[in-house]
Amino acid sequence: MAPRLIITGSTGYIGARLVAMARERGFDVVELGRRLGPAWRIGDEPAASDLEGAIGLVHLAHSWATPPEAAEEENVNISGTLKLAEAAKAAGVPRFVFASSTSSRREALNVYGRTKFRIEEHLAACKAAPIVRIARIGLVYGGPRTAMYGLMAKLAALSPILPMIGLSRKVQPIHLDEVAAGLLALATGENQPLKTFVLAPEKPISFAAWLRILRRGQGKGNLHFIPVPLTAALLACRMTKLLPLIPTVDPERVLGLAGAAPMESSESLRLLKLNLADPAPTLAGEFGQTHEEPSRREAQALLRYLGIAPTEIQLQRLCEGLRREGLSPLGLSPAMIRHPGLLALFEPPANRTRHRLAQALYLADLASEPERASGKKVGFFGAMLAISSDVLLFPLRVLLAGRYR
Amino acid sequence: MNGPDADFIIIGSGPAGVSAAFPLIAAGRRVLMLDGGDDAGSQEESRSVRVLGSNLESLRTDDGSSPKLQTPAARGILEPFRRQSGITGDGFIPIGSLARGGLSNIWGAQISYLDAEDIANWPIDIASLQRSYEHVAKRIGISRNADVAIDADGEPVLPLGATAAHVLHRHQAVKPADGSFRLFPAVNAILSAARPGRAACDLRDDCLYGCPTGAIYNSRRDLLLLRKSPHFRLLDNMQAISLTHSSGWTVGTADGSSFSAPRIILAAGVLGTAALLADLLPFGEQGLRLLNSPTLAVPLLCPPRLLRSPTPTHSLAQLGLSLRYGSGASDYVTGAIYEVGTLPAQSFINRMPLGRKAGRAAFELIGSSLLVGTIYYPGDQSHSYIRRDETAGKRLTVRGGFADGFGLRDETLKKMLRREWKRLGLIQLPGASLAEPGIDAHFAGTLPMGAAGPFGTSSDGELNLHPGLYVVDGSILPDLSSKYVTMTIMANADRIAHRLAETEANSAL
Repeated sequence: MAPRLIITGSTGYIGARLVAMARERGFDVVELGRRLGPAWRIGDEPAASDLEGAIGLVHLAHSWATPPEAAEEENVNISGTLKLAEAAKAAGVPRFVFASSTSSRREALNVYGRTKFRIEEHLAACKAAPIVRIARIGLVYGGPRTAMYGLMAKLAALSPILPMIGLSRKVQPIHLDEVAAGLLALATGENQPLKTFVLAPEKPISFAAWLRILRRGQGKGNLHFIPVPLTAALLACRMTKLLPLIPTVDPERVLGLAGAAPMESSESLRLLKLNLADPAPTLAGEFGQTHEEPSRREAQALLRYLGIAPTEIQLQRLCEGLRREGLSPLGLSPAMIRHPGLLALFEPPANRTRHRLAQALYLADLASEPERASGKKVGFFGAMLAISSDVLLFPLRVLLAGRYR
Repeated sequence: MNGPDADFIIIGSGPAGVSAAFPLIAAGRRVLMLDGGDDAGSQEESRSVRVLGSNLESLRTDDGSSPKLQTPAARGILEPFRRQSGITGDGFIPIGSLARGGLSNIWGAQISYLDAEDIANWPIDIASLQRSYEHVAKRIGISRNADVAIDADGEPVLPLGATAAHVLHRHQAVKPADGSFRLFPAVNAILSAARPGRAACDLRDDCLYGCPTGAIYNSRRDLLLLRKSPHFRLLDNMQAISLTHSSGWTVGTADGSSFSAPRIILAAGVLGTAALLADLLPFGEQGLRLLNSPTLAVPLLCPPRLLRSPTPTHSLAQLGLSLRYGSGASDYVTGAIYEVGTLPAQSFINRMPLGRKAGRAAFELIGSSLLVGTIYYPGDQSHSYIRRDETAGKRLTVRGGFADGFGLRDETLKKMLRREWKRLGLIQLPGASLAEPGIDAHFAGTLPMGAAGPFGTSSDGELNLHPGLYVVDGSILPDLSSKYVTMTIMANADRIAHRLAETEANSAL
């Protein structure tokens, strides 16, 4: 007799993957939903017979058809979740996992985040509290290109120039498989010490860097942004409502992008034994691309430009460093790779630390540091030559600096 | 209920903890030391690991902090404390360490001694402190920097860098206007001759990346000696988190173990100790006064040394200096001058408006003529408090700040310093900056010896109202002069441990 696991919202982006993974691992999955299994929609009182004997319930369902700031009893997401949790408790289900979000905050910009927060508060205060586990999930990516992830992947691949809001805000991308594994661990694991878990990487990255990773994963080159202030974006949303013939855009989505502060996840990851993968290679793999060769050649060019005859270990280090920083590939032209000296025309001053080529050269400099013989120096004339050519090339660089920004 | 685990439990394996352990085990007392860290990272490592970290964590963009705090070594020492101590800063960077050897892993190794005037307000006499200075100095090994041309009078010396030597000669040749400014070869806890288990300094100037030879003193190495004694036990990865008192004291650790002894010695560092005592001290509205040293960093250029090659030396302090800015006993700053040519080039190149290749060339060209002066003010120029946030349980927040009128004093001092730089033929470069409070890591005065009330300790570091609970780290120094404080913390811990070793051990029933 396989252990039973109940999943709501099982047809969604996360739900479908969770169901598949749970069945793979030998659970008897019961899908509570509109289309499959026992007919149920959020807000309904579930039949006790559907719940009894389950070892856990994962609640992913979320209704978007509810008036945004409705009071508790009117808001089907809140009342429905509480109903479900209490029914699970009454039926003796030992664990109720509620899928929340890293945007869950009392003052979240968007209704979604605020609603999730309100649900969390009510769950903590209701009769079912002892069996409730909350999973605050980061920005989910990977797998089928649907939901928010599909939208972002499409956006990133659209064009090399993208008007965007919230570029500097931090996001915490986590792979769909990792979310599913985390939820499964929460729904089936014995006595977890925490009530609230954060399923997200420890190190947030900027939204801009994330879109770049998505673009490069699809084998496209650079991505440049036109930063758009939030107010302008909201105004545009309002315009879409007024103007005929163009699809309306829900400001909710825009506010979701404008986002919230990152959440601390190290403890949760440790407890759930989740070791998160690096998104760039994972995506590259999923999109059927690998960048091994080109990025290696780029690393070689960067080192040679700095006057270093690269060794194997330095190349490996630099490739790794470039990949971690989301600088792989830089998109150096074949001519550059053949004649690294040409980089002199494009190199920005080293104190422009946000410039991608400057960052890449900094990493190259560091990657070759351990083997640097102390005391070996450029001569006086060599140094003078390097500095004066830098000064002479300056005007040209200003013109060309945009190339690898 | 079993018997006590030891006569004394020492919490912390940093300089204060080991200094307290030696006298106790010499007197035959059983000592159990709880260390928040472990032995990892102490084995010999390749330069690559020391520069880039074992998983290349250095290959990330420069975060703009001081080069000293950016090395993998420093990150490994500071990071766990930052994450697990529950202490946050507000205008203050709470520096502490859970690693084996504590902050001695990344200290600048400068040695200063307090004199009778410095400790006028302490409830102890200078003679007992001086005796302990001698004990500690003998144990850790100290060398003075010296100009190789001069024959030293029998004390161990390390070569002074050529640029520092140039500045020192100039100071001796051009007499200062008054006696307020002193400049002298720095004294550091670095070996110039090998000792068992530690090699002499190899002058490879890689100090910032950790010292593979063990020439720079690190209390980690003392633990090897301590462990040879049958009276000493060391437990790894035991982060103490609670203290409770019934018949004796019981220490609870993060992994749920507990240990008891009639006497507990806290040596967890000023912030670590405050966190441990959070439940025993009535923090109140105002919180706990913390002394720290406001710190100034000044980049300097020594034109006569342009285009010359640097000479082999270590990259710690080359020269020490002090400058009086007021008439009060403690109204002087203490500082050190470093040669920049020996520091990692990248963090300088990253701030230059030149391409990387040209930047490196420029750095190598002028590097040997660049110096950095770091100047420490006395603790009374800080205005920092450790507060307890009642809503967040045991979490502490350190609010950093400067004393009233500090801005004016700072301006006056900078003027005085500019006068001295000029006299020494040095050009002050733009970019002098006052560090954020906390970065100095010179902390003291939270539980001053000789003070009455719940925040005071006896002259033996015993916490008022809590018999059997002793503190031996910087917390109990009643005031903080601008001199480097580590040597004094060690000596004071040694002094207290000698006194505790003399007293009869309680027969715990």
